[in-house]
Amino acid sequence: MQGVFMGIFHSVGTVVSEIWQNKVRLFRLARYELKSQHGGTFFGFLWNFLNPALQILVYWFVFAVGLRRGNDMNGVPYIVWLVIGIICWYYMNQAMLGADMSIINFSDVLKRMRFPIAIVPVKTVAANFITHICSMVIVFVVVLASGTPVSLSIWLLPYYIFASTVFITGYALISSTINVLFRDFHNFSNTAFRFLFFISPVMWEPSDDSRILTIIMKLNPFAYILNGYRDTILYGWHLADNIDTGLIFWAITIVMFVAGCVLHMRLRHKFIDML
Amino acid sequence: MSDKTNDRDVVICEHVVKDYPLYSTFGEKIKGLLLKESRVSTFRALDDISITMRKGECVGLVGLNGSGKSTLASIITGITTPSSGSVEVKGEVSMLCASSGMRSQLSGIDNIRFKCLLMGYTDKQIKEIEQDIINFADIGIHINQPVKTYSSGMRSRLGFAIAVHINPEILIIDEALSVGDSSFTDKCLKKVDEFREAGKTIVFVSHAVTQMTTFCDRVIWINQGKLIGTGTPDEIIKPYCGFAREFNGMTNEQRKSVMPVLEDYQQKYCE
Repeated sequence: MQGVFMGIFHSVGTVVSEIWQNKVRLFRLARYELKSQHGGTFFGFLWNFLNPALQILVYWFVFAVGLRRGNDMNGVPYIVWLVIGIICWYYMNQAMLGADMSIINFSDVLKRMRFPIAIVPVKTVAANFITHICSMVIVFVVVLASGTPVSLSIWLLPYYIFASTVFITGYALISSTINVLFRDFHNFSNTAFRFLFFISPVMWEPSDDSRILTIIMKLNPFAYILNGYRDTILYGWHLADNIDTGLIFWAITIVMFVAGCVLHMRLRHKFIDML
Repeated sequence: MSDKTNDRDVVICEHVVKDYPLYSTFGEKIKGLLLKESRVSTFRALDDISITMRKGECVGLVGLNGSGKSTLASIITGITTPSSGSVEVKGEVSMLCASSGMRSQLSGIDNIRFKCLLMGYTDKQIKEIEQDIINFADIGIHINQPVKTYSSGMRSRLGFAIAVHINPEILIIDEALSVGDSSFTDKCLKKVDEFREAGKTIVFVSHAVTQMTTFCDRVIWINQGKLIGTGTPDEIIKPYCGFAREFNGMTNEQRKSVMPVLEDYQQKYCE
């Protein structure tokens, strides 16, 4: 039993120290990942701002002009409420789906040089993190332009960005490893995210009379993050509203992160031969 | 380690075996990964290879396709581990493959930075060697163009230029020089001499045997994962070429069972 704990401790320690030692390199690698994504485009790095701006424009057109969904979400225009949710969701969704393929897509390097593999999925998360920070700038422009007052709890927003990033990283360690062995995983996760999109408060909020949905929302780590973003930006954040969901969120996140480290360390020597 | 080991040896492989599992079903794959011992059929890529490489030596690795050259190179680099046997490597190893790790959307100069970054260089260190790499590669204005527009010769020049400037103790060059023209090959030869004088070890993995005759101090011949022999280029290259020619004329049946003996081929093809 003690041996098992030592093993888990060792795996987590190795992965965390590998990430920590390479923290600078990681963001520089992420920069090149973004650079090669936008390589050959006229706007280049500006796409990090243009992408969310155009995305928001589409939603604005559909919901504010087309469907004329005017009803406010607790005193906030629906489109503002939606934009925060969409951008937050987009970060988690893109980072996680990208992480699935991260090791496979990096195989040309991994097969040819000795490289700390643990940082490969994390650098994909880092690239999405950079994009997300750019997107949040656009979100603030939208919030301010709409005349919606920004809440005083805004200083807690970095905590939610941090929390979502840790959550994504835990998932990334698991999914990038599984996907090397079982490529079908990415297809399944793609579908799962489409489903999760609808059971998370991205485009709508569950009504109070549906008990099952309320429970799902409480357990759903995505809901915790989405609500956190909106509370800190729009409504004001209160500890009492978030403590139970917060504990559930961190329990899920820690279990996932530890499982990710163990799985990664267990299989990393084998999967070089499988890439 | 054995008694034969001395200070000048920087790569010591003893009885190295590498088996690749051949999973035929998904269930087998899962079992093979989770259980330590599994009864999956395997392909033996390397079979009992024992070699040493010395400091300041330029070693060539020859063999037909699928003979295990690249597997041996990856084991020395530390990318993959042997199934049994031991490998001891003293110093930093860097493996160079013609265009591996290049991002075709990025420009030549960005690729230099990217590859140095992969090797763990800091921005400051990269700045220091960047200009040298550009000068050595000598691809002119193309350095600012995306690598996808490069010819294969330009790619490999850039790849080689990067590899020789990152200054490892042991440099493995996998099929990288076969595309350069003769003036570039001369330049590389000079660089290889510099390396040798600096006490670094170079391993060439190639089919281009003529280059090996000029570059290498010693040649190692492997065939179907087995060590056929080591010796000076004169002792190995001609017999190897002779064998390769004979191999071309063989039927598939003969190819499977043939295992050359060095002495026979030396008698046949030397002099």
